[in-house]
Amino acid sequence: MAASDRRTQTDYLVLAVIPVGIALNVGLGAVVIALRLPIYLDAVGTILVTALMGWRAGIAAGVMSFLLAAVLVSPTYVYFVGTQAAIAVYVYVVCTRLGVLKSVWRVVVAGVGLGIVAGLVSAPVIVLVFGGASGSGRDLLTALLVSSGQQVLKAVALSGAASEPIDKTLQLMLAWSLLRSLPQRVLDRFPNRIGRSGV
Amino acid sequence: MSPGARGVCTVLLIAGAALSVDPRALAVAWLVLALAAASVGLGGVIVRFALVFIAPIALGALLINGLLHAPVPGDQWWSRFAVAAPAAMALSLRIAVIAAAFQLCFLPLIDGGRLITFLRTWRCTGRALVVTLGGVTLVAELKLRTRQVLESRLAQGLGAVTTWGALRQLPFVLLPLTVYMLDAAANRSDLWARRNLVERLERYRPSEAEPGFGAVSAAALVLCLGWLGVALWFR
Amino acid sequence: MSGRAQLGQSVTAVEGENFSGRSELLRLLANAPGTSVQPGHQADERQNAWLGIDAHNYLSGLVQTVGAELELHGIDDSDRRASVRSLLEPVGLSSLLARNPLTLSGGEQVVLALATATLATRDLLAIDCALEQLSPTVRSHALGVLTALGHAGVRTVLADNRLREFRSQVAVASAASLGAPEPRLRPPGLAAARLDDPPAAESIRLDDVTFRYRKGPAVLRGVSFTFEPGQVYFLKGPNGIGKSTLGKLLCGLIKPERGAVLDGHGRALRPWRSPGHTVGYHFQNPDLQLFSTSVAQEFASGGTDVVAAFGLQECLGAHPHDLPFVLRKRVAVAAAFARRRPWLILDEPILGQDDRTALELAAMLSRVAVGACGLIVITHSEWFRTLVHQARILRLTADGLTEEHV
Repeated sequence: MAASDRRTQTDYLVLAVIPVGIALNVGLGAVVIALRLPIYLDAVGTILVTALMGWRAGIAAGVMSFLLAAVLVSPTYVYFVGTQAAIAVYVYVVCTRLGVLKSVWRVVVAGVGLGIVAGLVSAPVIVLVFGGASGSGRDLLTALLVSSGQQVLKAVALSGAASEPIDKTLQLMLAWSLLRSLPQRVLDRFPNRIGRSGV
Repeated sequence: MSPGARGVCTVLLIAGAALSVDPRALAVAWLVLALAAASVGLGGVIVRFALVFIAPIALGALLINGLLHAPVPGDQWWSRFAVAAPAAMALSLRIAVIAAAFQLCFLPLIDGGRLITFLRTWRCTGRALVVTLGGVTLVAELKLRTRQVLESRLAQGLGAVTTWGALRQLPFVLLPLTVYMLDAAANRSDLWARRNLVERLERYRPSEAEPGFGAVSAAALVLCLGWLGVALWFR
Repeated sequence: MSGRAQLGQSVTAVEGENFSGRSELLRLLANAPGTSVQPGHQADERQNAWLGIDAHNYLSGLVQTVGAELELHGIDDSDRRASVRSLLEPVGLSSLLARNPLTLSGGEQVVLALATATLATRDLLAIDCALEQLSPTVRSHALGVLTALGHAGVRTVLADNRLREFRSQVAVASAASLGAPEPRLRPPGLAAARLDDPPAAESIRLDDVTFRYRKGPAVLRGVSFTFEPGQVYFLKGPNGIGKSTLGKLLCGLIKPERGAVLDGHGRALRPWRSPGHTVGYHFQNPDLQLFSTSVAQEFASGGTDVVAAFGLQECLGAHPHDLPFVLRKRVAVAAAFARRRPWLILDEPILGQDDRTALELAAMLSRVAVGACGLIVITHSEWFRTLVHQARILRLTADGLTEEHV
């Protein structure tokens, strides 16, 4: 195939893979909400798409999935598109460029880092839009910090940094184990930055 | 409603809600939207959202913002929360109104398949259009395939009938699903390239006629402009 | 490409077994540049359309209705629209334009995919085993339409493992004569003798069973029948009539709206309380039924005899999704056998399998049934039904389930 053909092929591939990330985020997110689980699981698609197609596709998948989730699942998703973008960038830098996905312990550490980043990026949104409340058990921690004299933004950021890592580590581990379990036949069809560096 | 009017009304509703500080005005706006939603069969969605998402946020906001206020000496312990209540209510209702506007705008489009025309009217074309439509279709497809995978496991006596049991199936279910969807995505991209489908989508005009700007659109626009005026007035 | 020159005017079928290079040949032919460019159309190398066995992958995924899918492919401007519309008729799709493609049955999706592929092709349409999922009537009609389109310049080349059932309708060429690449090594075949005895089954009686999906018309209406163990039943019927639904009901995945499922003694069976225990079900699409990262793991809970019986010893270490479709299907069927259910429903077990494998599988089914297990096979292949001695043939129609006596 000519080089221009190959470029066009990748273009189309990006357009076809981003919806997969969208569907995974929306679907998994909806499931945990329906089951009232104390986790989110709404970024697995973003992580997967970033690993397979790069940070631009990852951001597109993350942002689009939250816009769609805002319609199909809960309109509160729309405020957190920035967090999804941050997740895509983090995954790209830490996991693909720095190659930390080589052992389960590195994944856990990367997951904790991801949680902290996500918690920090979401904090201003939660304060501005939701008055510091997230509608989850984390509010109790925020309230505790506020009542001990912390500023509300700092309290939200700290409670996020404390609670998000659990969820994000889980999501990163899930995405990592999925990537490792993909058959070569499928991996071969993607530019596959992570696959090349050996997951 | 015409796609243009639909979009403008949504923007006006959201702007008004963002600017409004009066919980009573916001409550009235939400009720009107809930009634409008009920008239198109979406009342349950709006109310369920309010109960499941807004109520916990309202409680959390009340708690946190109440604690932010120093207790008034000599008053009851709950007085600080009473002071915080209007702001917490306004905040929660604001989110509820914005959410209702968003859902009322888009849900009928997705269910009715009129999404393409709406997106095009609002200049969502080219790659953004493809990804949006692909996402909408794939979300529905993922639901179907998940059910099929769970069924396959059930059919071999491996699954579980309860929801907790289904949750334990997640790792076994996610592998075939992810493989399937990625494989399908690669095939689909090949299909799009081969048949110029992305280019065809640009030229595609749904045969179903879009409603033009009529009485409903005009009435809705007037109401939404009025709402924005009210929000600004009471600021 | 010398192969293309060999192709006749309308429909040519490539003869050959699994792994003889037919798929590769079809891909080569479909990728080759088109030989004719219609005036007014952009010169485009991609003049040819390809349709694989997984027909649901050949729908655009961009629109929500059958009608929109056809419009997207330009049915309104096409000089073939009459032919394409007639293609949709046997499965009723020409009047179901508002249906969401996701809700179509497998056969209906194949027909829709075939219709859009026909619209998309200028010169050559390559079909790789997709027609195996169609009932004989629908397939015959489709071939008729494609033959007629041959006069309008659309050539069809197809590979199909059930070629013997429609040889007279098409021109046949060997893969070698069309320039197929070297055939690959054929994996071991099936060996019925290696299968241990499965557990004994009891009868299952359906008593005036009615079922409908939510808000839909009744799919099964007053169906009554008694399935006796030690038998192989073949279930046949038009695409979309409810064969899979009947299977799901027996398996316990769905509950009847009215009527009862009873055992041999007239006691209520209620399979929906523990689905998949009395009656196992192997679905048509193997890809959603392979849950592990190695073939060996699929048989972790037992079934070494099944592995040997299905000739899977050499792919035990492979990732099931890395295998070609032919073997993925075989692994999925084998995994269903390995669960050792008294009753097993197999939905199109010979999909993608050549005649040699089909013969071996038929021998295996006969052996299993003799051991007092119960088997229900859903298949469109008339030939396959003749291979199992003393099999009973059931026809599902809108009026119910009736036995056909040969």
